[in-house]
Amino acid sequence: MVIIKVLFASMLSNIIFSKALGISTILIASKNKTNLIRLSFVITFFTTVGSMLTYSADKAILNNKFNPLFWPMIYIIIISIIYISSLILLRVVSEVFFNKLKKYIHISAFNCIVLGALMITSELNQVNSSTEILFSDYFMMGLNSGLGFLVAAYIFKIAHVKLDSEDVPKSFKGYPILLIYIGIISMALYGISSI
Amino acid sequence: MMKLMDSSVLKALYEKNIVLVSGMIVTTVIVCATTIKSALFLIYAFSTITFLSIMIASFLPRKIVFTLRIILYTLIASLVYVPVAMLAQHIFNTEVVQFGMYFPLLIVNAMLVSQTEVDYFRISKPKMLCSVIFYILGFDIVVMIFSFIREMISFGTVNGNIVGISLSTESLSKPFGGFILFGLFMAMFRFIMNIIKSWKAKSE
Repeated sequence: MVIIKVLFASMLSNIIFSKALGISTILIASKNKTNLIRLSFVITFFTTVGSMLTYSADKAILNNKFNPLFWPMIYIIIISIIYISSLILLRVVSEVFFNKLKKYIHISAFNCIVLGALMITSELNQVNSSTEILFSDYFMMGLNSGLGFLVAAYIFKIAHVKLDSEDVPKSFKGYPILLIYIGIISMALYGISSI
Repeated sequence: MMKLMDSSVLKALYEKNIVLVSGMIVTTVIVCATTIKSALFLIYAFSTITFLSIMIASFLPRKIVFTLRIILYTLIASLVYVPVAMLAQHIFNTEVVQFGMYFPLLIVNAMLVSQTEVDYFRISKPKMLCSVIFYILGFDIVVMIFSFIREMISFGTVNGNIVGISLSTESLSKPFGGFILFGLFMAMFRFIMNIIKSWKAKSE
């Protein structure tokens, strides 16, 4: 039941369909189905660990009243720490895994979806500044963002055959049809969430 | 120099247009480019952050490993973001609030994070300067035209002035409207390009 709830939540508040984050990444990665799934897992790792680290950073930011103009820099530093440590860790654990996954780590680290996920999590803290936001909330938000990308990637994987068929007019093939497809799903989810 | 300009202009404006052909930096266009006013802010924000960051980053030695270089590029962009945002708060106060987190997200735009490594930093400085300017210009033109059409269809206005379109659909200003409209916009662009290409081939 919990899993269904989490999946439903990641569908309704999907970071791709509702906020259009990570669209460029999914458009480029959708050319290869294996890439898309591997990339989704790496992005989920980045958003989850990133959100967990953001918890401490946000506490420091709010306590020291940092100028909001410098917040993006702090999030970039957090992403950089995860980026470097994951590369080092993978290299130490297994050379094979390192060679397989390093290109996904390079793509995943600095893009809209990871930085966006950290900012959304952080906004949650600022909006509810009167109530204390727990570490678990940050963890769940990060996981939810990553799962959202994973769900979207899976939906594209299923639809890929039809979207790539000969029935699609030449001018619509590739990005245009994919964007229209995302738009239709996004519209449906917008309708459901408005009920 | 003219030849260099010609090839850069053609490549950046339509052959390899960063948004319409390469599908990069689509997020902000889909969510934020809803009116001409927001387009002007997006053009200002994207152009200044990207241009200044790429120019500063181009002075980094190529000896630095890729992993560190990427980190430095984004850190430079996040530093550039500070004065750009300060100025924006004076000029485009409403748009800064409307854009919310999408404004700082421009510091990790694909043109800065990936295009620099694949394209710009592999060519000579004058060629790079030319290329970057025209790629940015290509983005700006697309954003302007797209926002003009979107504002007209969504609100029935042009730059806030009512133009008397009775069939305006406000929901097209929502992200899902942006997806569909931009998909159609991309397809229309390809259709026109294909006609031009076949017409050129016939005349040759």
